Amino acid sequence: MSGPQREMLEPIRKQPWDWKTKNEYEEVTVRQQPYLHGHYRHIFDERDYDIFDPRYTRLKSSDWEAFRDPKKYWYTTYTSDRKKMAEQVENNFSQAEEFHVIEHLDPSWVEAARTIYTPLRHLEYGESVQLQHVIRYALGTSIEQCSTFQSFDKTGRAQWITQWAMNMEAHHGDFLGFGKEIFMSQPAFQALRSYVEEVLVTDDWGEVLVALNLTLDPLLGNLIYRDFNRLALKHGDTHLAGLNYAIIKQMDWHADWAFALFGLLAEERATSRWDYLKSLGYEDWPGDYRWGMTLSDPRNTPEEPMHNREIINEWVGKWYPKAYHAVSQLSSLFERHNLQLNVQEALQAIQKERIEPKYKNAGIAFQGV
Amino acid sequence: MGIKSSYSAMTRELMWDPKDFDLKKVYPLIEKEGIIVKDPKKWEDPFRMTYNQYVKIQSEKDHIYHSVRNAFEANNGHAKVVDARWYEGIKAFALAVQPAEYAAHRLMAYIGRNIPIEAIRFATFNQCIDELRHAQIEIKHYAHMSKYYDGLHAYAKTNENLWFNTVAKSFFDDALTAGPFEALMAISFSFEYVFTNILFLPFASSAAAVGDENFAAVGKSVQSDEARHMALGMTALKMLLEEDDRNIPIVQKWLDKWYWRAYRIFSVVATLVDYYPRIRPISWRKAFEIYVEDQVLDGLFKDLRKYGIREPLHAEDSIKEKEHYSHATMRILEHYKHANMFRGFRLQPDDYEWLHNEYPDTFEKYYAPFFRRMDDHIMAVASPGIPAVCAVCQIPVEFPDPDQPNKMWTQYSEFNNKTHILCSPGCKHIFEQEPGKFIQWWWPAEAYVNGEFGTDLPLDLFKYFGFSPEEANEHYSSPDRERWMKYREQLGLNQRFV
Repeated sequence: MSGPQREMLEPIRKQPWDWKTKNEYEEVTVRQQPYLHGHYRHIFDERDYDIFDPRYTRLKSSDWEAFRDPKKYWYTTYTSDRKKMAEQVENNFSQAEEFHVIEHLDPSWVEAARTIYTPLRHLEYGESVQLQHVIRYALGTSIEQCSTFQSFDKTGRAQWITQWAMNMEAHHGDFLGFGKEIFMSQPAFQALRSYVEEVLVTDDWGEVLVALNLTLDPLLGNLIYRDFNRLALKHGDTHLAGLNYAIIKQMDWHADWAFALFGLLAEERATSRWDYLKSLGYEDWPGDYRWGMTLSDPRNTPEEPMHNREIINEWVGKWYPKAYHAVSQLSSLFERHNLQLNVQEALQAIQKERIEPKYKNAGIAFQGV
Repeated sequence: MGIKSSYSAMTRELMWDPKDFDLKKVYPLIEKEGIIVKDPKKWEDPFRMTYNQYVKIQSEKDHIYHSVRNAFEANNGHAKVVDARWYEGIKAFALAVQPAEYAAHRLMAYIGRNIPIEAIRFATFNQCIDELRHAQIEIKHYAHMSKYYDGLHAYAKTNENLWFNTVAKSFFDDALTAGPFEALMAISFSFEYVFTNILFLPFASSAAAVGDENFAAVGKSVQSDEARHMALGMTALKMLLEEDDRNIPIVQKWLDKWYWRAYRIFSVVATLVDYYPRIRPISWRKAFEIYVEDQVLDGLFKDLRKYGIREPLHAEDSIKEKEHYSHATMRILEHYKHANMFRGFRLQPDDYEWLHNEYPDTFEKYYAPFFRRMDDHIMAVASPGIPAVCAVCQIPVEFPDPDQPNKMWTQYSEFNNKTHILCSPGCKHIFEQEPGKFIQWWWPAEAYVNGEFGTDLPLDLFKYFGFSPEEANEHYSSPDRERWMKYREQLGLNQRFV
């Protein structure tokens, strides 16, 4: 019923909230998480921290609300994008089935994919589980929301790889059981398995993101989903390549948002982990007093003396070589299956062309291996 | 491969038992609560929803909802409800429920991370992302409403600092600070299974009845996800009960606690059904009989008897209270309407008639005189200052004892040489189970008096609440009302055609 005579009703404010929002993503993301006055302390956590507390990471920020996802995903845009992706993956699978791509694959290639690709479903899933720890403890909705969608991506990816393996099983014998066996006991995979297990016991959510998004994922992801994928295409394996096409899109976004975040945090000038209270308008907050007693006065907990930049460097220094080593262990499998890809050279190229520039753009120091 | 085994490959077979790190380090909370899980592998997620199915179904569902919302926003749907006082209720819902949805999102991630049972973990993760959806579709709606109506523009500060918000916030904070199994029972069972229907179904019907197309769509869209959450709650409960007999008393204790805890949060919902809508499709009493008494207490809990589980403690009290609940809660809201971001309102003749007919035994006798005091002066019943609230549910301690409705139900409990005040036997019992935990609550009144928010009271408080005193008080005499009438005039909706 809108027409030319219908005048627009005059709103009482132009912006929905008391803070500026530039788009729908910001409208539904910024300031969703409360920062103050959580009610109780966790009954099994002797650290005595608040529910959303800056001390769950060593990183400091003068404004935990400042980060923005470069893709501006919120639930609606994320699921809509992923719906298209899911349909793509499914169509690609049924096409491969329809055109008999799977049954005509060269047996030596089938063996290579069975051994190298199938175990990834476990790695991806393990990462997804620890990202749920990040979702709970990260400070600020914009950060945890990216972790939420990434974790969900990785769960989905683990399921896609599983579906791929089941399609392969229809023509080429056991994949799932064999892949798990490889993952649990084949020497070439043990360093990777152990790496993800170590991530699972890493408590600092900032460190978890470094150990996945800045180190392991760019190395392993580019090696498998890009380089190994080129071999798949050489062997006419469009069944696998179509899946990787979707995975690469996810993977690039995971790197983009994480490098954007750590680039921002590396620039941070905050000297105290409580500085962010100013950005929220709580600079005079006297700490957490209840009933005349103090539940862990923030000012009495020791400050992290290092700057973010140093902390991030320390983490990258700790995890990157470990990740590099773990991924390079796969080379024995590439050799055994006579794949025309030298893993050491490929990793050097990935490091130089795909990883270094990202660190450089984000302004984070990078040694490489 | 059958659906069952392929689903199993997609979920439970993905995880492995860590070899290089102690399982107890990976799952540090798993043994803390005394729950024993011997063979988690046999449990199934009843919904068996994969990632692909999830994004396809949910994206469709989301688009349908946003189409309704876009139409509502484009066509000034807000001016077309039968009475704008409805929006005062919507504000209460916005400020209490929306942050709770968000807290539930973080909470489900905590549960999923810490319970290594794959069949459950995928369902908890689906729910984790569902709750983010609910938080966002609700806040998206309020973003539009906020441009036309008071009270919503500062939701973050309001949620952090307002006394009213501590009610829902403390519920989720309580679960966030509990062990993962307790948190799962608190949310998946007590909140989702027992009470979520009563939250979304009657309230969505009320929205449809008063012409708020958009909120009716929010309610239905959200509720369609809740079916999965309820199934998760049932699966989890059955699993804990069947895995080991030693779990039964622990689970019983949690059901006792969380039944009453959830029931108390829903007090505001009772007013949203009985008071705020001018056209009322259902009363709280009837909704409670259908959704709680029939479906839960007489239905589900009968099925649970075979495990040795009895009805939750104080369920009897909640049944007794059904004739009083909405009136007593509305009375509380009217007492403190000058310090809240949604308003009370003067009852109209048709309200008195409906309430009298629906509650013949209680409304006229115990509550109508109170509401009539507002006929001459709308602020006649305001209580100065900030209320004394219950140390567990954090609602002002003004619930009458349903056995003697002229007396308050208020209880006291001694702990550490201090007297703590509780609203009811139900909350007193919860307090006494974990006094060490419950004395850690953030009590706004104490913070205000201690000067946390400045010394010029009450004006300094409003700065922290994020809204101005004009946004409080009574609806029919408010600027919101005046604006709404003007919107209707501009749209020609003030005309009557017979």
